[in-house]
Amino acid sequence: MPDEHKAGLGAPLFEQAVAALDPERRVVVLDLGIIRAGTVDLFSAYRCRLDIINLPDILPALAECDEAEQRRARLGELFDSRASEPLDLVLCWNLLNYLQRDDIHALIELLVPRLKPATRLHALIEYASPLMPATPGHWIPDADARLHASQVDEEQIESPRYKPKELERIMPQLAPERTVLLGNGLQEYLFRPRPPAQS
Amino acid sequence: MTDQQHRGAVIGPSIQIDGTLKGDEDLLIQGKVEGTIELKKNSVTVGESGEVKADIFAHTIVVEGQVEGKIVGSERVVMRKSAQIRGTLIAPRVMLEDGARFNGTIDMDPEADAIKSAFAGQSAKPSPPQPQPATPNASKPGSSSAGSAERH
Repeated sequence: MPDEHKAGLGAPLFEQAVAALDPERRVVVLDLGIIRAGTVDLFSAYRCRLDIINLPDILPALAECDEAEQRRARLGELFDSRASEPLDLVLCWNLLNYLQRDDIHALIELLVPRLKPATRLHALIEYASPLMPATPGHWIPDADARLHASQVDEEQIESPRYKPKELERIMPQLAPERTVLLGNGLQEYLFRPRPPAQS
Repeated sequence: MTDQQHRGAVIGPSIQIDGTLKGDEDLLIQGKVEGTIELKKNSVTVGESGEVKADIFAHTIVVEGQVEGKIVGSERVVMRKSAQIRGTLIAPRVMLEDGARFNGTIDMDPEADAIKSAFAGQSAKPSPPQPQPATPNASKPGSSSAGSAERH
């Protein structure tokens, strides 16, 4: 394996988000992907509650569903309505690329009750390439918070290439804090909750 | 883990138990258990053919099969790659093998109330692990690129 592959993907905003977590304080992280050993290992260094919602599991069902309301209901089934502890960090990996605009909006709506001003949402958005793997695969962080992709689908589909302004329209509850164009053409985002509008 | 490798009690694949299990020896579950399992000073292993719909309280818990419920380990919980878990997992040390399926919450906070209350009065609770957070070199604001991705 080439060294650059071993080294993984430097994702500065992911690193920033992890470095911002206080090891002395309880932190709550929501992982929207399939849980991987690297994620558990990374956050085991913290007093961490790690919530896992397997969003990839329902992507095929969402894709087959034409009605936005039905898709919203399917997304809602993933969330435990009893969970109320505020989130410090939400890990979307590259999953937003595999959701329609309505679904992204619905997903963030479901997250809103657990957001606090300090919550950060991390996402990787296909930006440069018109094509992307047909399935999201896995992103696995290492101990240095660098990301390693695995099970990358060789079949490709059209990429939605969500633009920053479009994402702001889709997710009005959030504002981009920083964005970085990564070497592999993915745009890395760190979002924060948008303050309530002053009346 | 095979029955021969295991030292302790074994619930075989044909056994189904509804209720509360308590004891002072290690336990391997290859059958079906519903209810509550309390072996707070010992280890519980849910084998590959094990199907548990129960809250499990033990010193060490290893899951190779299916569990639905709350899993509370005062020392550690291990999820093997064949594990399928839905529920809440609470332990100061958690090990997961890639391939394990988990849906729910993993609470690794050694100060979590659930551990304190479940194992109140016991000395099995270990000292909290020393935090060794990743100290990545976050890039300066305005940075515009990073390395390449590994894509198999």
